[in-house]
Amino acid sequence: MSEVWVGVDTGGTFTDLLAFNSEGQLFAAKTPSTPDDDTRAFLTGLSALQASAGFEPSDVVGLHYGTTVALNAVLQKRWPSLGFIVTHGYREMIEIARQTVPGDWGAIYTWVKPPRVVPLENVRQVRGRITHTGEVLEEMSTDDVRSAAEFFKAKGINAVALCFMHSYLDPSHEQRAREVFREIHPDCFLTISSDVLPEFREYERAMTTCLNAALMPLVTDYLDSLDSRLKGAGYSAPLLLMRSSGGLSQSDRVVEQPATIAYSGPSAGVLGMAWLAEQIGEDKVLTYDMGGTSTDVALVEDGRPLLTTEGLLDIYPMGMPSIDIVSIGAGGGSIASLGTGDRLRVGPESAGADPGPVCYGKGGTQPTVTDANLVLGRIPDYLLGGDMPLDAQAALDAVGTVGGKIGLAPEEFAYGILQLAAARMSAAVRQVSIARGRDPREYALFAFGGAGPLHAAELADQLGIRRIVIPPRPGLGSCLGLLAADIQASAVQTVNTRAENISPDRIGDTFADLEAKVVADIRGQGIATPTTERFADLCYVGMATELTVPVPDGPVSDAGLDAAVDAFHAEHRRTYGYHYAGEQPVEFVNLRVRGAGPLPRIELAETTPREGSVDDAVLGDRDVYYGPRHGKQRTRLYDRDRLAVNHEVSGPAIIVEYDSTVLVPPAAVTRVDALGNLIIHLG
Amino acid sequence: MSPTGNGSSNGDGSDVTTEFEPILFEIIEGAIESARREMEIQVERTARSTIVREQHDHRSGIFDSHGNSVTALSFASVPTPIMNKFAGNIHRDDVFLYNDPYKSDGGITHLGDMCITRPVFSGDEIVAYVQVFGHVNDIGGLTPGSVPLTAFEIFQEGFVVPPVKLYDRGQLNVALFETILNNSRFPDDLRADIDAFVNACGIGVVRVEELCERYGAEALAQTFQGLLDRCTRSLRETVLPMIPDGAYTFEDFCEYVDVQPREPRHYVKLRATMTKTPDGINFDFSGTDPQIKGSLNWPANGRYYAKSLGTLFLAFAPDMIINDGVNEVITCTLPERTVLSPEWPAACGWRTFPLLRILDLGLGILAKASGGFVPAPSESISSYGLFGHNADGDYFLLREITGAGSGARPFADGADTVDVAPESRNMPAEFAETNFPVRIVRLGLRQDSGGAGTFRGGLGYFKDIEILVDGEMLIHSDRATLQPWGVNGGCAGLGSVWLLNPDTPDEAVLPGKSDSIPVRRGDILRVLSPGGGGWGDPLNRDPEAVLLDVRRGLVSAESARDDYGVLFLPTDDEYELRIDAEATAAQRDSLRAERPPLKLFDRGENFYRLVSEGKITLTSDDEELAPAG
Repeated sequence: MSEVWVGVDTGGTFTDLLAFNSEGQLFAAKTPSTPDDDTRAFLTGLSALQASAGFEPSDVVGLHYGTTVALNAVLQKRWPSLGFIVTHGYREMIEIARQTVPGDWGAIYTWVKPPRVVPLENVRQVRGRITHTGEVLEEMSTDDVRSAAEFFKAKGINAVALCFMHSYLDPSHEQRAREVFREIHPDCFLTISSDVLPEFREYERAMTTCLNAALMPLVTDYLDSLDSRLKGAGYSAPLLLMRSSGGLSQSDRVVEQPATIAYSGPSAGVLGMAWLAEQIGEDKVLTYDMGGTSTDVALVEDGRPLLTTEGLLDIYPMGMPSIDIVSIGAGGGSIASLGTGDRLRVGPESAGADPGPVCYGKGGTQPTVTDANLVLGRIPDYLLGGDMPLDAQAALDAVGTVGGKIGLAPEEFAYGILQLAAARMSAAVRQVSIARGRDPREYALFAFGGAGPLHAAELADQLGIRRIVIPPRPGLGSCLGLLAADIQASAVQTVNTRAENISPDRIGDTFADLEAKVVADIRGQGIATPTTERFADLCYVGMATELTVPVPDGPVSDAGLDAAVDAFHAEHRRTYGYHYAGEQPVEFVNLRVRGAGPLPRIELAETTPREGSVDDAVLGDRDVYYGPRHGKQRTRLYDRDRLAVNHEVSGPAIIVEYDSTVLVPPAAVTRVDALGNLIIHLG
Repeated sequence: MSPTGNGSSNGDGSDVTTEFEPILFEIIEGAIESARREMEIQVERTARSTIVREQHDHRSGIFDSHGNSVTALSFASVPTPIMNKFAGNIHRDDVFLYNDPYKSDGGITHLGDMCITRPVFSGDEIVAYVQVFGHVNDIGGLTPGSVPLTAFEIFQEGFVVPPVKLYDRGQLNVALFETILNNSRFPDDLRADIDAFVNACGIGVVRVEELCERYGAEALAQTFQGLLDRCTRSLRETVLPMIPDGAYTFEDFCEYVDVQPREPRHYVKLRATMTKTPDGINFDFSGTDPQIKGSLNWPANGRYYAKSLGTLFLAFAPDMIINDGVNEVITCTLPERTVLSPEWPAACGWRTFPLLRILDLGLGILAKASGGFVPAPSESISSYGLFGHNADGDYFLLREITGAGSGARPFADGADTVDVAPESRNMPAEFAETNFPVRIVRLGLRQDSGGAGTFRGGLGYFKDIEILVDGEMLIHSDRATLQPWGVNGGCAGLGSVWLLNPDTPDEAVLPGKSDSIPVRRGDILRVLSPGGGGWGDPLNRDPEAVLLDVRRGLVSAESARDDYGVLFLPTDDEYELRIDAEATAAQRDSLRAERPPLKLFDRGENFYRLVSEGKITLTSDDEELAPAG
């Protein structure tokens, strides 16, 4: 039997599975998620997939997993009592944070400081000091470490984070402290900041380290339990998890850095679209994943998602590299309501799955985006192929009641709700694009997730985007990414040196160290020939944010570093519109190495055009309202499964499939490409 | 309802999308607020001055063609100085600059704020203005950082730029720019800041142009007017009914102790009377002290004060957007030549302190109007500077704004070490040590600094900074003597304290305001920033909350006993601390019996001492609370 690779993506409502085998066949399965214990749906889905595809557990050579276990733990603050060890004098560092009140003027009167990840009584200080140049000013006090370890042991605290000042330059104090600590409290999960994030700025490094420590016990337990259930079911393939940075990693690595899998699923989705974009030759892509409660957007250029190191995990800073995904609370369940001065809002409040939109008939009373779609005739009055009927009259009443207060008829107001939802999403897109100096109009919109294909046209219109791509099975975007990913590892080192003072030898040594670390990590995961790339974060002296640019391979020379500086000037111009080449000094802040170990990837077979006409796919006609400009129009409904390669459908049209609905607005045209994607050109 | 826009074309002949009016409102409002945020993000990523970038001392705004701000604002500049001076001479791609407070129509109120304005055109018509201003590091003047406390005329505070064209139809006036940069101690930083503002404005210009193309100039103008009307209507219909009619007076003071021999006054009184009628609110500043021969003057105007006080009313309707529509409901009466209405050429670099006190006046007034149901105040912008030459011989200026504890609220404790400017950030110790000759020895919270109360004031900083070169220091703080007051029975928070070489024989208490303190290599500066005022009777605080504060070292056992009446069972392990319920009940009874009646405001012991010494006089009435029932 041929070898099989399986991707499993745990979502809030469904767990999706997708597999391919060495003969290029694809199989999919879907099962309700089991939020109390995700491993159950994982195994249920796997046996369903196995049954439908006819493979044996022993045929599976790769299990790739996108999980929300870490993110949910943070969102629900489900972590054990955590300890923190810090340089003497910094006991209250985490309480102080960055002295920031989030929000706008006046927020100081209303904002309440949330509880910190580590309560202050669980913080212990250790004497010893390394300076910003790496000089040891005061030796580390092993006595202080011992007494801290004894304290945590006595209090039953079994997860501890440790962060010393300037440890990104010299980790020796942190490493020594770890040894001493482990002699006394060996069973404690302990994570040190120079392992997690050897970058300067102590609060962000400490917080990332604390979150990592907080997640260690839970993620370790979870992955252990998943592993034993898989073994029990006969699966022995290594479990690879998707990290927020868009690379896969073995579970034994992940348990050391669980904070890196927070955005596992969303990152897999972006990666899936990136891979698809490469297949069809799109080099500038905006990915758009809309579900029931939230929308995620990201930029992909030349097949690569853009990364950030300024991410947030819930409200906490997360300095590890991750795909730059902006997430906002706008989805099918987002509620439309009137505020002060009849200010109309759509989201972020959501009706969720329970009670859900008014049309679900489960007690929801406030109109939602889904209700608006139903009122406009853009979705049928049932869900899941007819298993779940929707109450169209209730939706109409709810939309009509609120709309009436501002003088709008139900259809007008429903249309307005969708326009406003799109406006909020377009603001999120601008956050990722404008902040990087990118013009969204140059990008193609890749829409996926349950609700993305239905709302893509409005979003594209507001952004000035003319081309939309809807992949086959839009609900499986994350699974696609799981089966198109590499094993990845990365390493970083802060250097903080002005370009004119830099020594190529020293930079070369640092890169060599980072490369050795990354290569060893990937080789340890069974890939013999990893590739590596070098990058550097640069800024003008005195700036506090850096831009990342590539650094040439091979021996580091003055010319190579000059090339990096030139690349920085160019990137500064691209991002911000101007630069200071030759006028202001430049500083190298961090050096980075990213490595990849290639894995077999899914392939989408090209389908040859088949006989038959578009008319074979027609399901019927319906009246749909398109706003004041286009009014109400008779709209043809199509079954996506019966559309074939090169078929063209002119808008207005609605294309229905099992887990999604595609809207082709008036004056737009869509065509089915060789891989089964719908390519919509807006008029 | 019929859609807005004519459905065919705008002035340019381009397509116009029609939308229903209420929907178009929301879309345009969302788009311009989003544009404002995008501009501010660009400023933060590219500006060089720490005051702009970390302390968020900058603001972007979008204005209609009449110069009314249609985006959320506070303490913001206006484009009218440009509109009036350059009427008929404003072109596409012009960029204007000014920082002269006395030629800013009250919108720019100290010299450090460099203000950039760009027009937005649709065809030949100006449809909007976009503006960014930010507080740059240095513009010359008496002291590094350009905010000398001792200045008594604006000319000592740096160079003064009237409204000028920095770019004429996209062409930079190089001579002007060079001259401006040449007057700063840190020309590279200033250039990067001004470039950041100019380019951020560019983002706003493009976004408003896009809106114009899409919806038409006329629809945009109508929407702008609608947004102003909506702010007015929200205040009238939602906020006014929540405030009882009547007149309420409050007074507070700024400190100016021994800063400047020309100015003998040490405490400057600010006074406001709010008169609330069914139709509107008037703030009358009569009784405020005359302008001073120092830098605490605030050369704004009534329109500006109305806007900044308007933000207080967000507490009644947090989803409101306060724009220039506020001026239809809130008005100000301002006598001439006070610290809030100084005459040219009065210095004004530290108008920051009256600005913070005005917010406190607003709280005090609303406390009277609401029976104490407001947050207690704080003093969350104190700063120090250190300048000299570093080990490489380079001239440096380190400036840091240290936050403080915020005031307790009727529903929650104050927050620790925060800055009233939203999204502002402190300087990471590792950043400070890498870039300046200092070592941060301690970065902590100041125990017992938050005012006691049912809800406790937030804590200030306890920060020790070792200075690694000989140099000079600047200290800029208020509330060193007069503490952030407590509300509704809550106690005042501690004021700021600045120490040199604490806990040594050389320990010196530094003045809260000084332009020149020589320091030597090895000196330690201790920063103790203020705590927030408390809210409500401390004896009503949940003993478990007091226990947690003591266990965490935020409140001492002595304060728990004396201020909160909470006693603990003996233990040698703080972690296992337990309340002695019986002793606590007895202690609370006895404290309650012995103390004087609680007051609506507790201004702290220093205040009452100064009153008894005749150094300050209070002419408003701080009412006593009825005995607790």
